[in-house]
Amino acid sequence: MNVTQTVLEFFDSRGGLPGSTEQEKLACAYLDAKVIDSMGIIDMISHFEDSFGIRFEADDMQSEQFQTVGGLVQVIEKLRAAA
Amino acid sequence: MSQPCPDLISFLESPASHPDRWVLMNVHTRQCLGVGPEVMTVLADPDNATAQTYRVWKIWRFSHIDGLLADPSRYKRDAATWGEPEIVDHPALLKLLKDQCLVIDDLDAYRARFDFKKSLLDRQRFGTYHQQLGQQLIAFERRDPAAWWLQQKFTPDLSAIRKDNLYGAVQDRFLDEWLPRRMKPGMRVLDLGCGAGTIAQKMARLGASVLGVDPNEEYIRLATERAEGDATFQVLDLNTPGALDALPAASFDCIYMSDALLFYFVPYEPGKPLDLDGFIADVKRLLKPGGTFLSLEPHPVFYVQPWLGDPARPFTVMTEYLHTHWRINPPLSVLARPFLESGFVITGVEEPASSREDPHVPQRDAAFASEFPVWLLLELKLAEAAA
Repeated sequence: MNVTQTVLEFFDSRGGLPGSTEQEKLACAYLDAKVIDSMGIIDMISHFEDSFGIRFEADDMQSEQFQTVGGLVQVIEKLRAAA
Repeated sequence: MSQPCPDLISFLESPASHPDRWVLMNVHTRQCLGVGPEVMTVLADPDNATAQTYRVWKIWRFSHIDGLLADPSRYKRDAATWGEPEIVDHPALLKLLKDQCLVIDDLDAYRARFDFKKSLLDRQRFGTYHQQLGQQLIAFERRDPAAWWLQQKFTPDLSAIRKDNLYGAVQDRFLDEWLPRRMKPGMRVLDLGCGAGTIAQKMARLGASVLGVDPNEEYIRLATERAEGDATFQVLDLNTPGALDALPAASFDCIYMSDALLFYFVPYEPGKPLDLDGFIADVKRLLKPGGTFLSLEPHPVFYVQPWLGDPARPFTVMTEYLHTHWRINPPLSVLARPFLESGFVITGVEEPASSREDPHVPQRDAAFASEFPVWLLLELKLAEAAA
């Protein structure tokens, strides 16, 4: 499963990310950009955990990396590699 | 340049058994690290790299997850439970100290972090107490906050107040002793936010004629099912404008409310204040002449302060009062003023405490709450009636 594509598809299904290129979309700080709200975060976390068979820990979720779409992809890839 | 955080305190957790295990605590953020005494020299000059190694214990934990009234000190109590230390070099130690805000790089940047959290994942801003709790429950522990909150005060069948925490050791104990002096047979009482009717039932058993209201249909169903004596229950959401309009004016001798008034002063959701003026107007309208409003709320000084020291002689560290970052409850003057300005006078004040040797709760809990009241009860009457 391609992590980047799956993550981008999730955000597309929630109204889409700002930016026209993949690079711009990956740079998006999705919370600051209000692409998803506070409760949407829980949906997002569950969705990625179920899709990729991983579990985010508090340190993952609170990392700076986790705040952008591209960073989120990297966190998921790291957790998948460790699984 | 790294500097020790000005909000840092250090103390020995178990001086008799572990005189070499120090707690470093940021008293504002309640972050902690256990360290050996060799770390103290690093605090004096954090950037002075050494080839030495240091002992650290990662003792911070979000202790409120054990319960709303559990030890709020946010670290593993009793140095004997800390386990083996991690041995770290200077860069690793500095990172740990900075992660826990015990050493900082920039004081202004650190101070700016005392702000509302912007999202469930916001680590940068420390947020309010309720935001921290929500973040921990929802995002990190994946627990249902509604179920968690319910477990704090009541037994699983919602029939009684739990005895194994301070709700039982302080609140329930106090009400059992105090209500018989206030409730009179035939007295008409309104219990606002009655939940499943536990306290309304206590009042009804003393002969009062009680109406309990709560927005939760399931609680009202349970309360109605168990109603004894003259107690009736009704679904009603105080946050709906005009919710109390259907109740006749001057119809209650007493209006009781516990653990709910604080949300009129410190909204559960930042930026969404509740209508306090409307609430006070309702209370005034519903009370009979000479009637009393009873408010039992978390104590503005001592609620969720850290419980420090030996249980034989507990102490706490006050970090804020008039301008609070934690935003749990308002200072006493702010709590009382809108009522006083609306014509009420305070006719009674109680600061319920636990017994020092309550057998149902841990020794530290009972010791702290026997010295520092974690709730405050105000009795308010309209001025002309009080005179």
